[in-house]
Amino acid sequence: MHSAVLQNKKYIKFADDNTVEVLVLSSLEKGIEKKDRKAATYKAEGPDGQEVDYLVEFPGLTPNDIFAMQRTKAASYNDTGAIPHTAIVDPFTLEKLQGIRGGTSSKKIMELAEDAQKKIRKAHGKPAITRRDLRKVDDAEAKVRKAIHKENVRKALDVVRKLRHKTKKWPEDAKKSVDAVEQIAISYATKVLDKLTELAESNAPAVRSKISVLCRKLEGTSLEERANALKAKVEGD
Amino acid sequence: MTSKLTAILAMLSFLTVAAPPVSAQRKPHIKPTVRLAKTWDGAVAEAKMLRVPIVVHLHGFY
Repeated sequence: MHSAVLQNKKYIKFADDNTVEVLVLSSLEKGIEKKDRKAATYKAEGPDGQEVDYLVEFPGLTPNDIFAMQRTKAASYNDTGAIPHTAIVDPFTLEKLQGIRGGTSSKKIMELAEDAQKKIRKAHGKPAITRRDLRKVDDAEAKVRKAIHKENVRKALDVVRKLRHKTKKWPEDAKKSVDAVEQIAISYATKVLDKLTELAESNAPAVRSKISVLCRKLEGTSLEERANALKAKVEGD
Repeated sequence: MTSKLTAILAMLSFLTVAAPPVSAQRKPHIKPTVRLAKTWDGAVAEAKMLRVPIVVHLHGFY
């Protein structure tokens, strides 16, 4: 079905350096219904630390990821109606630069993707960061989600602080991915602060030690002021 | 005869209980595969940052 390209060793290496890969797979639901071995899943730890069913054929993707991708613009690039189809897309204009009707070789896709990459870099310049850099963000996000799953707000905030330090010289557009990770930790820290604020009404001593540590971790964030105000309140009680 | 039958049935019931479900017996063999984007928006953002094209593979399961 897809293994000649997607499981080709040379193509895997090429794609890691030169493309972003998207799969639009139709009729997976039929495979699941028929209990086709190619629709089998395996259990692994998901991004939030919980157990997730991933597809054996497409590691890292769940059936729901596949169904969701079918509802995006990605599915519109097959204007031929024939399956399979491969489209090389410019991420800035979202235009299809090349389309390959029917089955094709990994070599052909690599040639077309290389041409497309040259065009994109001519128009928008060379990238300021690499995929290896982006993996640092992915890794940090996984650590933050895991820490939240374990209700460890301090660990989550520590991971974000380290990530900020590592990425301080990144261009602004790349920093957006770091902001997104920080937002995950801050949203959780907000909930923790809400709980502590509520607890402070009835049991201020229980909040004192927790809020002191949290204040240090929240320095420089949007929650710093609120945490300090709560600390002052419970220490004054 | 009856006692032999009872013993065999007892053994079979033990096997039924002791054997884990098929899905738990086999560890799936996961072949190395190209890294696929989980979402379209994520793919677009990543491709912009890396200044690379998006390769969209449109396949049918059957």
